[in-house]
Order: sequence, then C-alpha cells, then structure tokens
Amino acid sequence: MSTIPENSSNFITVNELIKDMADDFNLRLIAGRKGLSNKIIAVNPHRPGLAMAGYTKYFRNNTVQILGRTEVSYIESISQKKRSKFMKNMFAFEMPCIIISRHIDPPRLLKILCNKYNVPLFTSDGQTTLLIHGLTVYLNNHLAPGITLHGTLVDIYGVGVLLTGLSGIGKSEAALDLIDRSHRLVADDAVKIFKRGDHLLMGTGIAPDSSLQHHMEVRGVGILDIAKMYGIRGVRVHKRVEIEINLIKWSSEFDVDRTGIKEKTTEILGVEIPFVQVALVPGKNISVIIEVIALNYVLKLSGYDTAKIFNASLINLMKQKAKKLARLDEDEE
Amino acid sequence: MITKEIMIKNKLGLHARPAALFVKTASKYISSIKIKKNDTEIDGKSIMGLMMLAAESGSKLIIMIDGEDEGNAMNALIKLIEGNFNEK
Repeated sequence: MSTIPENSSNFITVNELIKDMADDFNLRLIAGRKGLSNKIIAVNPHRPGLAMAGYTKYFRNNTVQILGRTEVSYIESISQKKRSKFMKNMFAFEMPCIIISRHIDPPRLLKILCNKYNVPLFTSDGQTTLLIHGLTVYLNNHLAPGITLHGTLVDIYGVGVLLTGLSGIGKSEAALDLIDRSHRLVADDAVKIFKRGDHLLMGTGIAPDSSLQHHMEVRGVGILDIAKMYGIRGVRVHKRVEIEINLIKWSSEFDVDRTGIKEKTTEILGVEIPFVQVALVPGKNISVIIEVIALNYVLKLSGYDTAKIFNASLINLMKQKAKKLARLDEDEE
Repeated sequence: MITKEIMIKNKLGLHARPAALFVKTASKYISSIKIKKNDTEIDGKSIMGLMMLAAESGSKLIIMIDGEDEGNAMNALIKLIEGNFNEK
C-alpha cells in the first residue's frame, strides 16, 4: 500500500458555499454578514426544529441549518416569550449559517440574533427538500475525506483499477499499453481519491485545471497528451476505484498467489478493496494480466468465483473417485 | 524522517525544466521523497505529480524525506530550489 497522507482541510467556509450555490438556489443574505468566514464541517445539513424546542442532544450545529415553512410558521404562531426561549436554545450553540427556504420572510428576532452572533442568514427560493438535497450533494463532494496516492488510475472494461508501485517500476508504461488496447486513463502519477458514503471510493486527477489532466510522462519519451493522442475515448475524468494492483519487482522470496482462492484486500480511507500483487518479470505481458484481473473481478461480482468453483469441482471429483475405489475394494472381498 | 518548508522563488514557478531538474536530483537518492502543497501530496521522484502542483513563484512547498540518505537528499533539493534551479 502506498502512503496515505491525510487531507487536512475538512471544512469549507460559508463564503465558499454561497459562491457556488447562490445561483442555483437564489440565495440572498439577510443578516449576519460578519460570519461569512464561519466554517462548515459536517456533511449533511440539519433542521434545528428539535434543538429550538430544547432537545439539543443530537443537534448537529457544525453544519448548515435549514428552516422551512414548518419551523418558521411555528415560531410565528407562539408567544413572544416562548419564541425568545426557542431562539435562545438554538443560539446557545455556534452555527456556521442558517438558510430559510421558499424565500419566507425570517422572523425579526431571528435577524437580530443572527447579527448579534455573526451567523449569516440567507433566504432561498428552493423548496426545503430540494435545498437539503442540493446542499447534501454539494457538502458531500467538498467535505468528503480525501487522499492523494502515488499511482495510476485506469478504467479497464468498466472496472476502476489503481496501479501502484515504486517510482520507475513501470506504472505509466503499463497504463499506456492499456490505453493503446482501448482502455481509458483517469489519472497518471498522482490520484486524488474521495470517499463517497461508506463504501465508495472515487478517483480523479490532481490537476488544478482540466487542461492539465490526462498527461503522462514516459521515461525517455517525455510528456504525452493522452486525450489528444487517443481522443476522448482514451480518457475519463473520474472513476470509482475498485481494485488496487501493486506492481513489484520479482524476487524469489516473493510469495506468489498461485490459486486466487484467498482474496487479499487493502484499505483506502477505511474502505476495503481487492488487492493484487503482480511481480514483474522481463517478457511478461503485464497488460494482459491486468485485463484478466479486471475481467475476473467482474466475473466474481456477477457471482462466479473461478478459483472457488474450480476447487469445489476438483474436490467433488476426488470424492466420487474415492467412493468408486472404496466400492471396488468391497467387491474384491 | 525530516521535513522542511521552502518557498519557490524562480520567476516561472515549477514548470517543466525546473521540475525535471528536481525529479532528476530526487531520483539519485534511495530515500522516499514526498512534496506537499496545500492538501496535495505527491511523490518527489515523479515529474507529472510535481508539475500538477502548479507551484507558482512565491508558493510554499513542504518537503518530507524518509530514508538513510535523507540528509543529503534534503540538502541537494534545498540547494536546487534556493539556487532558483540555475535560472538566470
């Protein structure tokens, strides 16, 4: 496994969020301008209804707070005394920002408190559920744990294969041969991987601009533009990472897997994926081996585990043979 | 493991020629060499990763070296950066 540097910035500021989302949801700043640099940490927006009512045990205050028609109309229906108590419950916690859906006019007290505690207050023309959905996707994309790994990500028959190994072992050369065989390059050299949900790893390049992605260095040749050379079918922007293939120099001590019955795995960001080590030997066609690993993975996904099924047939055959022999023995007696 | 932060000062930043020089120097050592800019960490021995950092003049890099010849590797790389990659 390659080294895993941690992604250190697991937050975005309210300002960044608003810059990206303002147009989609027609966000308008109403109060709390001083809090625009507040940090959003949790990936899911929260509806603070129960927190206002005083039940703050599970109040996710470190994320965007959404107030919909339900909350606002309730706040307006209660007495002033109760209302200020409700607000106090919520503002006892630090919050990055509050968004009110459907451009509902915010209660006056809310505006005052947002200014007092520097919590930016926005209105949006979106429906509450659509707003929550949009924010969830956005926050998940921006706050998902991520790492950059040294390796090459290639889409092989629709399977995202991460090639890893020491510098100079031949990852790029292997990838180049695979692209030449109609597979698609996602990123060479450095792959940025994000965790989506609990089980999904998405990989892409680290290029700060798409004009720099899909380039590759091949030793002795120099920098190559894969998208230009192979066209759009030779590249893709991101791909789920499903298998890690670790290329290593062959040595007699290397414990080669000869059956494939026991599946080795590796962990990236806490997600387990199959891990195959392939030792390089001069003259061995590495592309075919990588293709076969990908194909066998697809077979396994579809429920056909070649190694296990072969072994089961073998054991079955041997059992029958043994029975036959046993019967012959009995006959002779 | 040794770590050092350094600022890129040559005019055009880490473009192809300085990046190639850096990688060539880094590859002379057996220690593992990692370069970090903001959140992105790359292998200091591979040129594409280094160029993808798009480290402009004035940006800061963190060099992390781990291995038997880490001291020598760090000195050589720092010398290279501080000498603005022999740029005139």
